[in-house]
Amino acid sequence: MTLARVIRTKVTGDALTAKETNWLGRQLARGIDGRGGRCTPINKVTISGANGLEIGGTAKLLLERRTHTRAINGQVISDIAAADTWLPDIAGRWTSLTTNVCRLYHQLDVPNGAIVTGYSAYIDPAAHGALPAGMPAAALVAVDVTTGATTTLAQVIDSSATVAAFDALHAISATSLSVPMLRSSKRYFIRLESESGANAQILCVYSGTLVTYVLAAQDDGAA
Amino acid sequence: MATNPFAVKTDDQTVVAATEINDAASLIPNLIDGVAGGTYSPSSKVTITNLEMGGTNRLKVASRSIGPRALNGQVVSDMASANRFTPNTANSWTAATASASCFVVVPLDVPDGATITAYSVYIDPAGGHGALPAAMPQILLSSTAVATNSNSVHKTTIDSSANVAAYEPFHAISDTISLVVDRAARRYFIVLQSEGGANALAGLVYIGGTVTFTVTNYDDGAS
Repeated sequence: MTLARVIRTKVTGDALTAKETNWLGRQLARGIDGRGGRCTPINKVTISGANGLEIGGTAKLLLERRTHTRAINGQVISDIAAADTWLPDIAGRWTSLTTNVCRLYHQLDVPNGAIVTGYSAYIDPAAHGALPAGMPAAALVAVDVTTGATTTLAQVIDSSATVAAFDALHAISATSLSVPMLRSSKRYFIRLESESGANAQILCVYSGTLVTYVLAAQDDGAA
Repeated sequence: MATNPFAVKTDDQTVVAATEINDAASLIPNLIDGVAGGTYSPSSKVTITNLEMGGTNRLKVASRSIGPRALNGQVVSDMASANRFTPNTANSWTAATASASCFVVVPLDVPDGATITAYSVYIDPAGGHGALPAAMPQILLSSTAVATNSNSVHKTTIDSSANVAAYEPFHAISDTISLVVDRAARRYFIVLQSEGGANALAGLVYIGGTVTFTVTNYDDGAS
């Protein structure tokens, strides 16, 4: 649908009626203002045809600030050559093999410019007689690929208060973070460290991590 | 870009020429209706350098099929097991034994809200089979709900090669599905299980996979 033209063609001397003037004003007020901005159409605006819509210059498509929670879907890796490792299973989960500290790294596939506000790494430990001396921990880590510097941006130790709470499927969660993703130079991952020490058990299962982040612009995705 | 159809007026010059009104009226149908919305086919692309999607809206796209797209996530196998796939310098993966317990897990980098419609895994079995393996290779389209540690196999597809001549050359195991991606809770992957049982041979090579999906929105950020 396009805005209609209802003013009849004028010749010199024709009057512009009040009705036409009112219409002109109303129509102008409906047009998308390419200078002043903001509009809230009641139906979607569809730009079709071969020419389409382009975000000019190097601007991104802006998104009114919003929060998403996503299951991260990046690479998971552990030090397979070491005895202290996690191993994958056919269900895409990972299981710890020793009661020493085993580390697992899960690539964080979050857009550039997003602000990570929290994460929850889900584990399902084996049965225990008592809480492990070394409780599991989940950290948000960045590697600056241009300098090699590794930075632990957040780290949370499992705070389960009882064996019953610990043995059940649960999350190691970080909240109230404000970590911008600076993908121009850094890669990010969740580093999960297994339980260890006295009372520790093997066969803790890692099912994945949910990450929460705030977006204000679309990432520079594929064209 | 439209130009102002009205000549600049002064206080003592309030007459609007007929041509001005006609020009103004003719511009109205070119405006994008920011109230009612609508469908437009501009004769050249619309370029906006400061465009924002309000509320939690995504940038909608007319429903379209994307792909096939080659899967680009990192493959993992159980490297501690004798029954594993091992990577080579071409980053294809080879089954170390003649066992259906050899598997690789390939993450699916598909955006939230997409609908997976088709997928393929390309394999190159070893030569020298006297007969088809008792257990033919199969692929599983799976996901794991992170917070509940529950794995779902959405579809299992067994290699349907009819004879050794069809089976041994490089070929695909393919299937179709209609599966909506829920990245708020789940991570997705394809599992390839190698051949096993009588007549099975080691050396089946996983080359890669593809996925085809339908989208009606651009995801919030490239995955």
